[in-house]
Amino acid sequence: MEHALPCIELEHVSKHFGDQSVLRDIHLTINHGEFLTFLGPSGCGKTTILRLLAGFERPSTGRLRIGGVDVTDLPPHRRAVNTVFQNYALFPHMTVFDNVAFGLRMRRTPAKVIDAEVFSALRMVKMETHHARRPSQLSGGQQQRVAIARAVVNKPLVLLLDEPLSALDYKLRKAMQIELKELRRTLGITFVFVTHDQEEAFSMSDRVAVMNEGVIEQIDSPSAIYEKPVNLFVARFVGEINTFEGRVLSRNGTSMQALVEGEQVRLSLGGNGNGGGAHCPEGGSPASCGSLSAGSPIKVLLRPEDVRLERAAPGDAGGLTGSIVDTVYKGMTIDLIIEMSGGKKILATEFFNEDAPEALFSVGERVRVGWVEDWEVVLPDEGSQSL
Amino acid sequence: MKDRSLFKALAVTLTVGWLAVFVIVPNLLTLATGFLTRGEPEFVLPVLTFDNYARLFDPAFFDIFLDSVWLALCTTVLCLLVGYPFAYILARLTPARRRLGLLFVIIPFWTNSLIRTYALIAILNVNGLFNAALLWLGIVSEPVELLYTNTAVFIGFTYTLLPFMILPLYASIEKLDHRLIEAARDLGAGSFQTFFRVGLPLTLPGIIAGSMLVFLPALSMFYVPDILGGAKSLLVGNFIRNQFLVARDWPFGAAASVLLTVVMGLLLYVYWLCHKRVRRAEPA
Ligand SMILES: Nc1ncnc2c1ncn2[C@@H]1O[C@H](COP(=O)(O)OP(=O)(O)OP(=O)(O)O)[C@@H](O)[C@H]1O
Ligand SMILES: [Mg+2]
Repeated sequence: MEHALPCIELEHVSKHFGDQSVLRDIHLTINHGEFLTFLGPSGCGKTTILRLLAGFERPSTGRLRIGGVDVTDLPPHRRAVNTVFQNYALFPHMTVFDNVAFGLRMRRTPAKVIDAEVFSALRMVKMETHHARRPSQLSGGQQQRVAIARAVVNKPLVLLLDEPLSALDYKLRKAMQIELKELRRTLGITFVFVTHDQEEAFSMSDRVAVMNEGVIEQIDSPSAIYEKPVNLFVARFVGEINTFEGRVLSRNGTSMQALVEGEQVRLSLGGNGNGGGAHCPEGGSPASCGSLSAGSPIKVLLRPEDVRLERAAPGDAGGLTGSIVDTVYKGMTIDLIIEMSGGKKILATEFFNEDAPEALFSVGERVRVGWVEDWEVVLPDEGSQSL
Repeated sequence: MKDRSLFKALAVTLTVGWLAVFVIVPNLLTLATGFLTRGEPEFVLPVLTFDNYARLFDPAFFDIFLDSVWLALCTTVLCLLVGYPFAYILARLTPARRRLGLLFVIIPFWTNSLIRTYALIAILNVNGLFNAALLWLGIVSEPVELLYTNTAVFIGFTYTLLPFMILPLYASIEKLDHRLIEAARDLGAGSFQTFFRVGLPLTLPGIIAGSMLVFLPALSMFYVPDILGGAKSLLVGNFIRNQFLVARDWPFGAAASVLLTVVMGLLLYVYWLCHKRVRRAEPA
């Protein structure tokens, strides 16, 4: 970001509830002005992290710093963070104006200033005409805006948002996503966002932290998460992915020969080039590429849109082949389900080319399965890992 | 369709009938009796008079009335002060402990309240447990005369009526969305501000309901002052009872009773107004 100063620092934070370990050794720095999203399945501890930051829970071990100040022992009302709650949590007995003014009143701001600040916050979320209403007289989207105004009016260092859009319908959610991004641009404050919607996480964040069972599996830019997942969990959690089992035959520099689905193929390990590519995770994944040597079991991951198909000539042998078993028209794209020779089913996404309908594959056709070189992801087979 | 309308008709008839026989007619009889004259062997003479209602403005009766209101008010306030924290803690307990706590609130109802009031005599006595405790704690150096004073009545009322305060309070505190409390804390409110700006206003329906359930009986209950207050403390409740059973002045007793009903009716009206305001503020 513009100034890469740490705004939030979590130092080896863990949290237990009774004997249940909910967060394990979370070590993380969030910069000033950054938009960081925690993404993960239900129950992985996303809300717990936000509650630790807001001060509603105390970490079992570790320290928390916000804006350079150790806040581990500070109660919620003395922290420079504000939360936009999942259910909005607007005060039902107060008008929209009083809801938004609440934080300022707690800080004994002069009434005149409150008036101006509240209206400017309400204008920002386009709710100024509703200032006299009660929350119960507003729609979900409107309540959402008020909740955001109520938080940002206090000019916090950090805005915590716990699935703030999950209760909204698709169209409104899209609109609010754009508004939130815009708001973040104008306010320049740090956003910590929680969602289990991968698309939402990718479209809004500078960095995404993918969580699973209380640990951060990977924290990176959205494109890196998508294109260079460090493990199967991340790869599978963010979008569709095809997985092939294989075994290394030989390695030389940036590429290797491997046996994948019973066929010998060449896999690249460089990870330069087209922004994608198989790569060795640097972040200290349990088994790094360095351990890959002849005989190591591997997984080869391929996004459906990176799969390249060719019609297989009748006498053709060698390479990965399969036959189309189903096609799903998706408007812009078409999904092809391919049954590989070994019986495994994979998914390929092709762009729908209206000018050349004959280029489309039809059910029953035999195809040769390949990919754009460098865009495959090779991971050591961690065996037990499953989703 | 037909069955349902038949059921509806039956239900309405039954309800209206019940109200007419047990509520409206008796109240009208009381109202009417207040306008009649006292008679010796037959209790009431059918001679119209406004005397009874006029006598309500007699300073002597007015004092009794004021005393009663004051005592009922004190009882309500004490019940609220004791009941609110109790209900609050109860609502925050784990479900199993909560059930146990509620059981403790309800257990006294298993014993007739008249008997429990008599038991209070033994406790409040000069030689009773209460005085023993005060002496032991060193709060007083010699036993205090509590029994047969308004203080004893006050204690009796509070004891008898406390559950009626706790239960509605508990219901509304338990319903309170804890996330709103967190939202207030998040926005910079300390515990005190959070309570007075969010907790209290949102549990107001429970506070009003509980106060009604304590105040109204405290105003009219006659056996507690009878047993614990002795002759020294005359409250509206036992004053009315005395008019009927001791002084044999039915018309005056009826007039006083009508006054009490009117006052309670007004309070219920205020309650309804408050409730309507609070309800409007709640999410639809
Ligand atoms: N106060 C608590 N007491 C006991 N366990 C808790 C408490 N709060 C959370 N947990 C447990 O911690 C785990 C993580 O919860 P958390 O709410 O952080 O999940 P989440 O990632 O936000 O999930 P979701 O996407 O469903 O909101 C869950 O297993 C939950 O049961
Ligand atoms: Mg959550």
